Amino acid sequence: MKAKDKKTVGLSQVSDRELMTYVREGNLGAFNELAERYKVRLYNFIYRVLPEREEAEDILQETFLRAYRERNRFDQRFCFSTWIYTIALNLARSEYRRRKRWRMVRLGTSRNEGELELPDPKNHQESFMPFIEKAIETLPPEYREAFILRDVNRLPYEEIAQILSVPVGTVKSRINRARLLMRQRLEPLKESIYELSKGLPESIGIS
Amino acid sequence: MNCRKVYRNLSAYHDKLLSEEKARQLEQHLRECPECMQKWREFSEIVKAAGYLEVRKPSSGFNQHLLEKVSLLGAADQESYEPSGNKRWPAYALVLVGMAVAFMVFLTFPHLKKGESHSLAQAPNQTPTLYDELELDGRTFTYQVSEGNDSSWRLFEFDNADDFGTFNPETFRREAKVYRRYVLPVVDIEAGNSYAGESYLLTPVASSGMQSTDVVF
Repeated sequence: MKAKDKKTVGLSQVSDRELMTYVREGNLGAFNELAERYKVRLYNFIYRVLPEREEAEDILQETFLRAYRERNRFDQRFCFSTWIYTIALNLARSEYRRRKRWRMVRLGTSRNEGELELPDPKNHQESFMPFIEKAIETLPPEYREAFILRDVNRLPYEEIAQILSVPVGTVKSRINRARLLMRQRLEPLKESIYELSKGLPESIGIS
Repeated sequence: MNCRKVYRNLSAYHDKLLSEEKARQLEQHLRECPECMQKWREFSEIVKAAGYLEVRKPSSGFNQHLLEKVSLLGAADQESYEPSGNKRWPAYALVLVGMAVAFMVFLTFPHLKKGESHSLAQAPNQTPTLYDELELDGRTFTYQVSEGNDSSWRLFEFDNADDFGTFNPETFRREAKVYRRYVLPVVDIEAGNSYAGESYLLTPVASSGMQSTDVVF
């Protein structure tokens, strides 16, 4: 018991891979540390990739449970981050494929609109963000996944390619198309877009 | 560099993946083409803003709840996940199972013949679902169908992501009840696949006197 406690003390300085080694030995403290490190970024990924957001937390929990159950299958040569994202992605995909339910999300482009008001010019950043969220929802799944991984979670292309199991070239073209679609969807809000990121430093994404 | 090529390379430019020469050509075009310049500015603003979306957090009891569940999994569960090469199925068994499944699928859906082998045909009487994307001959088409009762199904949007061109939605708007779609899964044309010259059907099903429409790209 004492040896375990010692290990738990400095867990925050231990690498993901090392933590996984402890997890295999049955150290729940190490598992907890991994959950702590990844839950927010995975949650934000799952939350946005799913059409039914109420289920995001269940999927997040299932992601970690599966990681735990399959802890002995984790290949130490791989990056833990890639592995856990892959699990989350697969669970989210089977969820939205199972449901196959779609909602129409309007951006205020059609004539008989009026449900969504244009962003308040005095308060751009706050009022514009919901439009970005909605535009993300309207992306086809493949593009949505790529866009979120790249521009919301800010992962490198190579890691996204591994998570999605497609070549890097495919990731690049999906991301480009996703961004072009985003721009197109948000085009009606043109003037507001320029004000959008005023004063914001370069983002490092959600981590 | 023309506008089309600029669109294709905007992300690579944004993420600084273009060669110096290409980046220079792209910038040259942006200086000369106000339309592209505006698109580029919007594009980069949106990409930047996406990094500032609200950070959502799982509920505060998440870890505790998770650990409780994990403890319940316990040691009994661990055994079945122990890595053990000889418990695995040999490769030939998997191949046999795969062939059997494929054969059964063929028996069930004999209409899956050559040229339609990727098709996701919508069975009549099923709630229509949305197939969101066609990517053919290097062009991406997105269409969305609004959900509602049977009679109000219609094609909502049909556009070409590369050109920003929009197909006339009237072409596809009809009183169909269910659309039978023949949709190829998303394929990356740039990776060397081509579906040029093939025709794809967007067909209303179970409707007397209704013409099915061939959509030929």
